[in-house]
Amino acid sequence: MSERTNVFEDNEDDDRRTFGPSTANRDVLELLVKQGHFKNSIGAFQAAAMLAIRRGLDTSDAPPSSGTMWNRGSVNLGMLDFLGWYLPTTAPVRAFAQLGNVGTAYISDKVRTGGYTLTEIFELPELDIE
Amino acid sequence: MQLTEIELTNWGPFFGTHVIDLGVTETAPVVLFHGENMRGKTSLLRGIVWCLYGALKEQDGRTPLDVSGMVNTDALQTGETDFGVRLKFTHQGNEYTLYRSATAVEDQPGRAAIRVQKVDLIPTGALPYPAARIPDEIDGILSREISDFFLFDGEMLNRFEERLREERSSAQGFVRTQVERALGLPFMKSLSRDIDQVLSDVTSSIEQVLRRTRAHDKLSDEYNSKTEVLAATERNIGELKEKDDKLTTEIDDVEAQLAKVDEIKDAYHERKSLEREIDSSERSIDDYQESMAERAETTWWLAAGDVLYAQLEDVEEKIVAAEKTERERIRTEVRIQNLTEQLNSQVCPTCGQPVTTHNEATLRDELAALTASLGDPTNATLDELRVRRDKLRKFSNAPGVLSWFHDQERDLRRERLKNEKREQRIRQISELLIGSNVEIDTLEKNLIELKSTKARVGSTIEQLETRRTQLKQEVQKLGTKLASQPEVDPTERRLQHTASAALDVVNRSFDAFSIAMRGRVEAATSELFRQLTTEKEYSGVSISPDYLLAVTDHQNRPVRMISAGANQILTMAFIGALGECSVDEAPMVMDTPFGRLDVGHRRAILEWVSTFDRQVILFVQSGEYDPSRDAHLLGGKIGREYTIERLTPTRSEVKAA
Repeated sequence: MSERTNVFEDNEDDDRRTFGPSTANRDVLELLVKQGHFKNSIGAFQAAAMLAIRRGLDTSDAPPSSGTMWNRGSVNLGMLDFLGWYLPTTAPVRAFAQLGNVGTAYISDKVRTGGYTLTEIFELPELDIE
Repeated sequence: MQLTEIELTNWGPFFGTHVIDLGVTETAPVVLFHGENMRGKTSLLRGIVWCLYGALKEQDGRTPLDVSGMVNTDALQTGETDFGVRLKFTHQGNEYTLYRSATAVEDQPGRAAIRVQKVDLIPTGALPYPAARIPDEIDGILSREISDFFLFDGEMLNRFEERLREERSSAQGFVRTQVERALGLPFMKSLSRDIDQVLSDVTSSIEQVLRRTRAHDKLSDEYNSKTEVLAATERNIGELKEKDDKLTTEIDDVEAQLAKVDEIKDAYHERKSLEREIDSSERSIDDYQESMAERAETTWWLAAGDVLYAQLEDVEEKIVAAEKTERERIRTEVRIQNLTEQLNSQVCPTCGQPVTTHNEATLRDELAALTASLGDPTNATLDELRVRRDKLRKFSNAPGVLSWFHDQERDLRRERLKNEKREQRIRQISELLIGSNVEIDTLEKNLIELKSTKARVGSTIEQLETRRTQLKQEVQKLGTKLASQPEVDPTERRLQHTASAALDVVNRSFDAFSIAMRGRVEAATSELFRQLTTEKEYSGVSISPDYLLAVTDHQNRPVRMISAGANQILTMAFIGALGECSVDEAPMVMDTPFGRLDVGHRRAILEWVSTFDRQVILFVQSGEYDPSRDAHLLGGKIGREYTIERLTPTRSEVKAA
C-alpha cells in the first residue's frame, strides 16, 4: 500500500453526491452479485475500492463513471470516514468512486471468467496469528 | 490337496507374470489376501477354478462366464499374447503342476478372444498325463461336483441361502441333492442303474428263449406286460423330469429377472436418496454463500484487511517505542533538574555535603551532556500515533475474519465435491435405469404359478417313482420266476440271480449309507452352527428323513422363523459341514465371505477358521476384516499374508503384507 499522501485534493464542497460505475464495471458488479459473492453491487464496489487501496492502484487509470447509480447515502459511512482520514481527502465520495472503478476494472477478468472464489477474486490472504 | 503356488499370466488385473507362494504348514494354514473392491480378489479365485476345471461361471453360479473376459486389458493393447494360470499343489504326498494356458488375441478393438487352449498336468518326477485324462485326474483329486463347498464366494453363500429359504419341497430337494453330491451318492445311484440294466437285459434274453420254446406263456406275458407298464412309467417320469427341468430353468430366468428388478429398485431408491442429499447440500451451499455475502458486505474493509491489520501492528509497535523514548526523556529532565539545583545551591541534596566535596567539574560535564542529549518532547508524535491506532483498531479482527472466509470456502469446496460425486453416481444409475420398464407384478405372479406347477410336477414324479419302485420289484420277482424255469440255461440263470442279488445289495446299501451320511452331515452342521451362532436360543440343526433342514431349539423342535443372521450362519454351517463330510479333502478358499455378517458372527467364523489345520485361503476387504481388530481371532494361524494393490485402473499386484 502506498504511503499516506493526499492524492485526492478535492474541496469538501466539490465532493460528489451521486456516482456510479463505468459501463464495463456495471456488468462486472452485477456478475459478482449473480455469482453470490455479494448481496448488492454497492457491497462489491466497496470491496473493489478497498482492493484498489491495498494494491496501490493508480486512480488516474480509473474508467470514467457512466451515469448515476448510487448516492452518498448508499455508501457505508464508516468507510467514507475511513477514506477521509486514511487517504486523506476532503472529497471521500469522489475518491471512493475512483477507487471503486479502478478496483473493479482490476478484477473484471476473473469475474467474467467465472469459477473464482471471493478470496481468489480479492486476493485475500490467510493470516497466521501466533 | 493343498495349493502351494499360483502363477498368473496376464490374468484379470494382473499384467505380466505374477507368482504367489501359497505354501503353508498345519500350524499356520491360513493365507490372507487383503484387497479393496475391484483390486482382483475374485480374479484370483477364478484363476484357481479355471486352472482346475477349464471353465468359469458368473457370480450367479449358473451363467457360463467366457474366460476371454479375464484377459488383462493392458496385455491386449500391448500385444502380449501369453495368458494362463499355473497351479502347484500337493495331493496324498505327491506334488503336481497344473498349467492351463491359451493365446489371447484382440479380435475386435478392446475385445479379447482366446485361441489354442492347452492344459498340462505334471506330477513331480513323473511323466505328464495325457491331455484326455487330465479332467478325470483332477476330478479324482477335487471333484468339480463338490468344488463349490471349497472354492466359494459371498455370492455363492447368498445362492445357497436363497435356496434354503425356498418353499418346503424345493428346499428339501436342494438339501438332498447337496448332501448326495458331497457324499458321492450319485456314483452309487449310477451303479444301481447299471446293475438294473444288466438284470433287465439278462431277464429279457431269458424271456425270449422261453417264448421261443412256447413254455410258460402266461408268465412270459405277465412279465412283458409289467415291463411295458414299467417302461411307460419310466417314460412318464422322464417326460415329467424334462418338464421339471424346464420349469426349473424358467423359474431361474424369472428369478434372475426379478433379481435385476431388485437391482433396479435399489438403484432407483439410491438415486432418490442421492437427489435428496444434493437438495439438502444445495440448501447448505446457499446458506454458506448467503452468510459469506452478508459478511463481505458488512465487512467493507475486507479486501484490505491484511494490510490494515499490518499497519495496526506497526503503529502499536511505534507507540510502544515512542512511549519508551518519552519515559527516557522525562528521566533525563528530572536528572537535569536535580543537577541544576545541586550546582545552584552548592549542596548535595542526597548527602547534605557541600558540592565542592564532590567533583563539581564532573557534575557540570554530566549536566552539559544530558542537556545536549535531551530531545524534543515526543508528545505530539505519540498523540498522532494513538489517534492512528484508534482509527485502525477496528481492523484488529482482520485475521479472524479472513480465516473465517477461507474456512467457509474450504467447507463449500468439500460440499461441492461431494455433490459432484453424487451427481456422477446419479448419472451412472440413470444409465442403468434407461429402458427398464419391467412389470414386477407380472413377474412375481409368473414365478408363483411356475413354482406351483413345479410342486405339482414334483409330487406326480414322486408318486410315479413309488409306483416304479413297486413295478420294478414285481418285474424283478417275475424275472426271477422266469429264470427259475428248467428250460433256462444254468449260466443265464446264475447271471440273472447274481444281478438280482447285487441290485438288492446296492439298493439296500444306498439307503443305509444315505441315512448314515445324512446323520453325519446333520451332526457336523449342528456342531458348526452351535459354534458359529451368537444366538443362544438355538441348540443346533436337524436334517429330517425327508431332507428338511431346520434350526432347532433346546427341546430339539424345529424353529419356524429364524433371523436373517441365523439363516446366513445356517448356510455357512451347512456348506462347512458338506466340505468336512465330503469324500475329498481340499483347501477352503473363501472370497469376501463376511460381507453381510455382523461383528459377532464374523468373529465366530474367524475363530472357527483358527481351528483348521488344513489350508484356508481368505480374500477379505477392509470393511469385513481389520487386522488390528481381527488378526488375534485367527490365533496366530496366519501363514502368509498379502495385499492386493491397484497400480492403475487396469493393473494390480500382490505384495507380501
